[in-house]
Amino acid sequence: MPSAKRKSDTLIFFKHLARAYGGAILFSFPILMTMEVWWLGAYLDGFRLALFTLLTIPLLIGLSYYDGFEDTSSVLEDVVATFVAYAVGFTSSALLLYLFGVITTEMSASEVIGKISLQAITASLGAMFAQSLLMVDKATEEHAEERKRSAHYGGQLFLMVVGAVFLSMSVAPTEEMVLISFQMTYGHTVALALISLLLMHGFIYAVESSGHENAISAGAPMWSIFLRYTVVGYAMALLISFYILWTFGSISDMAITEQIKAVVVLGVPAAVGASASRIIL
Amino acid sequence: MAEEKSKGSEKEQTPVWEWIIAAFGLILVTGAVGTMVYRAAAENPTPPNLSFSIDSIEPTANGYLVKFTVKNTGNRTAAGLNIEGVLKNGEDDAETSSATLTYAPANSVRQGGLFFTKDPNQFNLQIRALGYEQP
Repeated sequence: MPSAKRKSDTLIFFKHLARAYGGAILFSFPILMTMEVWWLGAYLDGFRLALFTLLTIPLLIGLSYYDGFEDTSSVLEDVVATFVAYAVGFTSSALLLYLFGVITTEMSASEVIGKISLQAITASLGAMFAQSLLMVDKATEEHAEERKRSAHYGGQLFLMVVGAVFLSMSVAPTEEMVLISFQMTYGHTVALALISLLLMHGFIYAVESSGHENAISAGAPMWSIFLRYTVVGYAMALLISFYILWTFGSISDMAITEQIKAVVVLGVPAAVGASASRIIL
Repeated sequence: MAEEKSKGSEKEQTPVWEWIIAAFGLILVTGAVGTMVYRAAAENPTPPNLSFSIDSIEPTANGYLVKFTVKNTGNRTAAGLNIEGVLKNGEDDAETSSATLTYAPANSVRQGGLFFTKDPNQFNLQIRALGYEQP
């Protein structure tokens, strides 16, 4: 009996693993096929890339808790699932980069590992997301929904952070981020910030007022939702876009006003990712 | 069997394979972070230091192709690297050609090619870097 149970647990794990690979590849495609990301991986400052990789770990643990590819019931399981997700993200990125000819055997180890580990950040998040997008297991799904519904304000903000990191990562490495900010005037910047807020509020209000299962403050007045979610969420989106631009060195040695413009530009996908995360995740 | 996924209250055994893959993931994280920290710590930012070697000289439809390898032994990456090849005939330049490499990453090698109409075997071929952009 116990060995039969063990066998079926293993089988379920491999199904989840296959799903995780699907998620990793699905979500990391846009940046796997972006040349700026390959180059960044090769020359990015080592400390900043190491810090980014380390910060991904708590993000994955939290995501596993709320919404992972497995139905976890203890912190240890979340940690195990996190490292499985990282292994999936790293190996799938390594395979595709090798097939694309981005990494070759004659490159230095530091270049190859840099290129893979930059992609592995998004790919491992994708592996963790697999559950929401490619779900099949009804029981697991219900369990995850329960957790999300009972998530406190902090949990809601956490999901917003993940959404912001994820969506902004798919465009942040491109040169267009800084180029767009050069093309914009200060008037454009202010307008873009206001539009971002409005867009965010639209997404958040849709969740809160529609009785979506992620709504935790149904019936709260609009200004309360605006202050507690939209404004706080936009502030987090801006901080995240600043952090990512700093990591990639895109805004180093720029005047503070120019830096703010670039942060607002990347803040658009970050804001949309943050506010939409509660619908998607 | 139908019971086995009923609720989280049931103590589920983490399969051995999951532990193995998780351990592999842990090794990857520490390995990647370690490599990156090493890359940062070991870097006394020496500028790009480029050396060229000629791999082959082949005839093509309209002339000759010189394939070369450029090795950057510096700790800084050179972007938009301009490379010039000259066929020297004593003091005179018989022919020049150029190539641009998008990147010559630190401590790495890259390959490229230069086209000439004259046979480079008849001349003294010199390849050098003209300039780059700091990424």
